[in-house]
Amino acid sequence: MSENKAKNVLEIKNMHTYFFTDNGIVKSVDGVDITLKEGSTLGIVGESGSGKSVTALSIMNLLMDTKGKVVQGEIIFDGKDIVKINNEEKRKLRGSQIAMIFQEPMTSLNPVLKIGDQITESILLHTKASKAEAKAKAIDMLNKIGIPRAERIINEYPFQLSGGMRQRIMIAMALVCNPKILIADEPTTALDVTIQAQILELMKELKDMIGTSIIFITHDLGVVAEICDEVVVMYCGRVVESGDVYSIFENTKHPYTKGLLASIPKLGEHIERLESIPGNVPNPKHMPIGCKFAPRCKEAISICTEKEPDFFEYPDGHRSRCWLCKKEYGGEL
Amino acid sequence: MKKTILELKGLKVYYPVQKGILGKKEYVKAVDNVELDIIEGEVFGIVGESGCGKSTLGKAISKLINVTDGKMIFDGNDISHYTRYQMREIRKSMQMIFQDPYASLNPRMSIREIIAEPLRVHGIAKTKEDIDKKVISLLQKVGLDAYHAARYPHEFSGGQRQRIGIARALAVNPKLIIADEPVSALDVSIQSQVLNLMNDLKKELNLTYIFVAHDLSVVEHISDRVGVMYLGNFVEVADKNSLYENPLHPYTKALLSAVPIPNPRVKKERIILEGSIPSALNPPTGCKFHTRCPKCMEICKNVAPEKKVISESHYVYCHLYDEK
Amino acid sequence: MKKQKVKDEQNDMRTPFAEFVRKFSKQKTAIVALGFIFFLAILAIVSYKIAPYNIDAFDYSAITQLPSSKHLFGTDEFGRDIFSRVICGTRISLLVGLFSVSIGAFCGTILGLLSGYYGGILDSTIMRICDTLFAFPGIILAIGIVAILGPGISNVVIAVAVFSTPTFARLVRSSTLGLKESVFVQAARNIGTSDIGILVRHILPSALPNIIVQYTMTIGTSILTASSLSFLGMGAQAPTPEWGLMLSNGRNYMMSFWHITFFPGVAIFLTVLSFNLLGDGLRDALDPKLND
Repeated sequence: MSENKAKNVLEIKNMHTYFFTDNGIVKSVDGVDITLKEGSTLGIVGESGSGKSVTALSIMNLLMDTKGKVVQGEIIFDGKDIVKINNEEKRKLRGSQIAMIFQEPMTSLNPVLKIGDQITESILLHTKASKAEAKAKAIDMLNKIGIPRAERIINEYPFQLSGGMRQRIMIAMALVCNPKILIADEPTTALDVTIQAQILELMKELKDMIGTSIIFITHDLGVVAEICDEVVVMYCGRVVESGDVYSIFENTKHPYTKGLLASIPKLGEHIERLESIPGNVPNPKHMPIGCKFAPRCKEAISICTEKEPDFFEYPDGHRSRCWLCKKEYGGEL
Repeated sequence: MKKTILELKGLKVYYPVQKGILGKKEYVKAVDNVELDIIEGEVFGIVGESGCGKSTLGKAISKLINVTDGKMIFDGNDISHYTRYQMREIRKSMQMIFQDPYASLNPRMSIREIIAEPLRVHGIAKTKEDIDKKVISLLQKVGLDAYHAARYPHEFSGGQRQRIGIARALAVNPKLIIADEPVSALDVSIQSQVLNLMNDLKKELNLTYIFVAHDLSVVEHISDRVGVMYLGNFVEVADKNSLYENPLHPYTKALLSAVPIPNPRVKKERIILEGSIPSALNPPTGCKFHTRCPKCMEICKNVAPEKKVISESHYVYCHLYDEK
Repeated sequence: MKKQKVKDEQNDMRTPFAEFVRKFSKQKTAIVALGFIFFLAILAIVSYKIAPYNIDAFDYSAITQLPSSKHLFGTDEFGRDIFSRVICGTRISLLVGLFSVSIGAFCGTILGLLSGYYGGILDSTIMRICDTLFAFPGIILAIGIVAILGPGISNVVIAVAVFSTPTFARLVRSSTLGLKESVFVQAARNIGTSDIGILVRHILPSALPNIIVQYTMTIGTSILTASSLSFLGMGAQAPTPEWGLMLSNGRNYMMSFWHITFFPGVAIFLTVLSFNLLGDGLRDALDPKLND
């Protein structure tokens, strides 16, 4: 039974983001539909070239300084299509309504500004709080995040803190204005595994405490299983499978997702050889005709190399972009 | 009787740090008194988080960095103080695979030149025909094609470049390969290809691997024995079954519990360690882990634990297992 | 072991050189500059054959004549055809530029490689000498050297070589320092490659783009310096058709007969400008810009 009762806080419809480079057009995101339900955590899983990071940047309109542009599609937030609004309105959304945290906390924090200034900058920009109120809010947020001695930390500089602490600061900065959506782009990839565990626990607590809807972008299926409610799997700029997390892991439909799950080494599972997906991600200049995954797919049938499959939707809302799913359900190919 | 191919005794790699002009010299103890035996034909995994010294240890073993103190005996030769000239001969038996597939290949050299370099340096192949033959055979061994030899690194994906790095390492017919995070920079689906390749090569060529990585799942999969490092020391060394079923050291337990499992139904009881890893410049006294250890005792703060052998392939450095 | 299927990729070969050519072809001004330099090179070769008048042909009946159909650039105070002299001066200027910078680049590169790779006392010594040479503005240094060695074109070449050596040494040293620690150099050490092998096969090729850019731009400077020295009477001696010397001779007539100084001056200007623009274009094309 699909959860139609929960409100969708973000809807991406048929989005295409292309990069106009000297070498030609790179179609980083080529027709993607994603919905984020209020209060839930959506995981976007993919490898390099999948377009997952570009999707996040498109939502946040951070493509302005690059050669990328959203050429088609809508992003509906709060009832409005935020692709079509002007840059000033987009800027107002960023930070206050939709916030983002990145993979490398060192490069995302300004090394010459104190921590406190960076957090209060966001508050002062988006709310009418005074400097004192902003400072109090910052300290409150840091306490919530579980950072000890918050009053001292706000006077320190990023280089004085460890990677895990900096990532917490990033989260504090992102959440301090109570955004509706938090986009986390590989926030724990650069961290040690014990620190990653701390951050993931923190995010789970915050989710319960504040109720932000989260988009969590990662390539780590273990992290997805742990923290996400819904999952979207991307390959070559398209969504190939989506559904709730249990369904994706236990009732995997798309051969790519199956391949990914089979190819990761799992603790305690002592096998000789891992299943692997043969070949490489296709060169964007030489995209195969038909299903983009077909050249590497062990189960490919003839139609897979001729026509790109549409989404096939199962009754519980689980979707898979694969001809085999249609075939399995007795549909006509 | 299994032969020991590499023996490390009391190995130390310290980096001097000068605090100010008149300040006294302090040391970053990257590798601090490591003792280890590597058996021929095994895959020994070294796992740990940042600052544990695993990469430094790997580089010290292949003599890319200087060892401050201690003994290294490789294949019967005491190479601890070998000069670069003496190491040249040894390098035919010991090779390294690097982490960053994008940086480890010279972007201005063709693949053929990259793989030919070790062949030329060690006189394994001299004529153009010999070199071409060997290069093609090596490329095919790692799953690439002959026509790849004329190309340049930027035309290849990360996984392919790593394969080229492996081909280069195999060119000299080594006995021991030290792999420093060989799959960390690769996509998940490519990781398994390269891991399978390394496994196949091990069996075909009778190789011994030292596999350094931070990803415990990967290390546990490919290794026969695993050593867990923390701030320059091993805290526990075990065969992979014992490590997973009977981890002894509190850090090992925390590490195992921290790894996210790709199964949403499994709700783990997590051991969350407080704080972060201390600096290697000023490591804690006694047992270096005591500041974060949930089972810290009084003795742990002052006395460094000794090696406690639990079984033939399992030993640990922890006061919890001291004989009372 | 599964073999990988690579279909279209076989046609997509891109050597680093082809990549460079593609990027360079987008630098319009640099291409124009390159064209002009080719033209100068050809001129340097054929000038003496195609010049309408002999460069030494005095003609007292036609002194200081303004440009006309008989004398394209006019004549100087001795009645010599300025056009012939200017185009023949190309040969000297280019040769001086090439020779002096080549010597400077060669010496500087070797010093920079050794200095950067080995460090220590060798590095300190070489760098202190370079610092000392840098302390002097180029032209003053050149004047000083020529003053010691005596006037003449060959000493100008030596002077310019000396003052451009530190620039190359610095440049190559800094490239070497950076590349010394790169992973592929570590990999080469791991293979057992000797120091010379590493310097020649790994470090030098990667430093080469910077060297080439610097080389091109230094030619411009060296031609300018050579002309300046000749202007001051310390370089080429009469009756050599050297542009700087022609400027010097025409100095006294500048107010009334503009053409005597104008054409050699323009020649210097355009030549130096082209080399600088070419250098700019090369630098932009060789800059390892990341693709999107």
